[in-house]
Amino acid sequence: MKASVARIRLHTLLAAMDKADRKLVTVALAGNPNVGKSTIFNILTGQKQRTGNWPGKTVAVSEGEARLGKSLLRVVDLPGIYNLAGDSPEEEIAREFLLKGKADVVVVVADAGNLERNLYFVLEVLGLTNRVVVGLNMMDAALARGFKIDAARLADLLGVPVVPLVAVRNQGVRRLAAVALAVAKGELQTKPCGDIARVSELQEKQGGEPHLLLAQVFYQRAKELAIAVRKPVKAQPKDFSAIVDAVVLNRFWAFPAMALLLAAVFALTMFGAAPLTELLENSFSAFGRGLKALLIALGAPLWLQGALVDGLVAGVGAVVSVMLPTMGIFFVLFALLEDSGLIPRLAFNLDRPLRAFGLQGKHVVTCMVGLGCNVPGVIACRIMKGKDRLIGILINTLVPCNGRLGVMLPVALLFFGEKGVWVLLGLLITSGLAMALAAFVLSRLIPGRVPGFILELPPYRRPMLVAIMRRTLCERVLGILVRAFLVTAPVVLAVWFCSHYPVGAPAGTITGRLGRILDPVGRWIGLDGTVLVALAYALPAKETVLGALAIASGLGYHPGADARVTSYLLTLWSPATALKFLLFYMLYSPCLCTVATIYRETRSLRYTLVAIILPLCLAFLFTFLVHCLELCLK
Amino acid sequence: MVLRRMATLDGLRLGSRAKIAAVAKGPLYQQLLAMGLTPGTEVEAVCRAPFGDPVLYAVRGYRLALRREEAATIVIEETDSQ
Repeated sequence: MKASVARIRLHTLLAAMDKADRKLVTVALAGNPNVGKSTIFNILTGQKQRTGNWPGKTVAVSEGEARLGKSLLRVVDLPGIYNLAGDSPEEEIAREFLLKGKADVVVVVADAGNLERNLYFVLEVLGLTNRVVVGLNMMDAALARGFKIDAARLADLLGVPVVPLVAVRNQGVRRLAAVALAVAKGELQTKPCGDIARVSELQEKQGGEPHLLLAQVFYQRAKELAIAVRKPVKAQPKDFSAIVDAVVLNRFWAFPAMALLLAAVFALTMFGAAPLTELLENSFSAFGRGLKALLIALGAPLWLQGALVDGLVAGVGAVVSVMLPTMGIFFVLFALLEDSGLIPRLAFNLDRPLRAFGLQGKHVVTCMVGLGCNVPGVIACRIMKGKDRLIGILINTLVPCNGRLGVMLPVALLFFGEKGVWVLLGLLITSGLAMALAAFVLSRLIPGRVPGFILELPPYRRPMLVAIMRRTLCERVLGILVRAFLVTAPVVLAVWFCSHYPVGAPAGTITGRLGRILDPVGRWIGLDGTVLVALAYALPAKETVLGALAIASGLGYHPGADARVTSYLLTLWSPATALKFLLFYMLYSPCLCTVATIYRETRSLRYTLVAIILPLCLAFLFTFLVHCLELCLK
Repeated sequence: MVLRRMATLDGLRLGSRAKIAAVAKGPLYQQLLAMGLTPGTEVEAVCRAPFGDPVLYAVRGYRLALRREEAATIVIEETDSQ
């Protein structure tokens, strides 16, 4: 995240807090990434922040209110960081927040399975403030790995309260909040033994690099503390993570395993969603017919009937029935992978080959998210910094999202029969090539050096299926429905309008005129001007392209019209044309929502324009090549 | 006899342990220190990614992946006896 953007957001938050009721006790949640801060935040505030078993998902500061008995608390979830003294935006935010004294108490959430490093962070925080409570989370995982932690002893040694908890099972969270409240109100005194004084006196005595000195002194202390409070439990259990990693990270099995995983996600999404899609399509058809009957009965004018039923209901219906089931399934599957801890393994395995193209391991993850929808795909790029992040944002649209796949698969099946699945696979490989090319060029053109790479591989965890489903459905389904009504509906209406006015047969309408203008351009790549217009119309929301094609071809759009337009296309297009259409459709500029997200994430007009123009150029290039190939083979 | 050789972390054989002697000033210097890779810490090379890079290391009870070039900034002395 650009430092300036992060700072603006922080200042906005701080200013808002100043204006707000200062009587509210403010609790800050700080700690390493992936320790459960967001889980605790969700439990306390009832919000639905994203969580998942690997470092780096919370990058902004989240704020919410929690009720504890009669008191109302303001809870602030700071981004997870390893080090308070660093210069990345997340570290700056956390440090500034703590330094400004905006928190009445700081709850440092620590992973009991990873004591030394987490205690290091606790000691760093103790250097900034006395009002600290340590939440020792994931006690169950520590036990499963073979050791018990004596929280009371740790509290004695540290001089601050230590509350053991298992946040995912909601055990100990309220107690943590109660203790934090007590410390904030001054009812509970803390006598922390900070080591900052030692560091400065050591520096005076022997000089030496301050970062190194700090790290050594604090880690020495952390190690002593960890040894004092950690006791092995009788039987040493098998290291489950190591066993799974022996396959997933293995030189021979890694790639087959990952390919299998990806194929499974794909298959489950596309084919698992099909029955649901059919159900929704039928419902919308029925609704459309009913609405039409009602409008006729009410004597509504023809244009209103057309706009509402043929345009609005049919258009929105087509989109929702395709996107809702696929995205619902896809994002639940992805969240399962995230929660289990498999995602960083993918980044680990693929880092080296991706570097040949100017990408890195984590780009696999952002592209996978992009398969579901480009908007969270772009946001997911926050897990990287600097140049890597920017490149990730700019190429994300080259990954076909569920909306596009929902169009591409049926069209491929229609024109190529059973071989359609292989055609789709070929298209996906082509999108990979396009991404590699784009990344290669961008990495040479964008200034700056490649940022460093450190990746923590946390132990595997059992994913919480129910919590995932609840959270995903809320987040995604709501998002899709909102988008369907706010973006898709107006677009479909506008397309319908442009294709019927000014009156004068297809040729006289706006659509007709645009089609004629784009015809010469289309000739280069073997596509009709009408098709290009439809593609342009589909830019705001790509899933509407078939509807746009139907309307632009003068077919009118009726409920269940996908079948009509596709059978019409079957008579008009050759398989080669269909292929070119699919290729161009897959690669071209990002949809409106994605563009808005790209601008929000980069705050740069220049790069947003690059994000729009680059894929368009690639779409033209690749389609042109296929067209040339077709001409040569004739 | 215990042979001590100075080398860098990227040369550590899989399955071997070593003690960190020093961390050179690279772009990730602060990060590495904050993650616990301080002089005197024991590190073990666990496994390599399919293409050889990055390598997974075990340090202070957790696992961390580093690329060759960053691992090369960490000077180690091997503690396994010959």
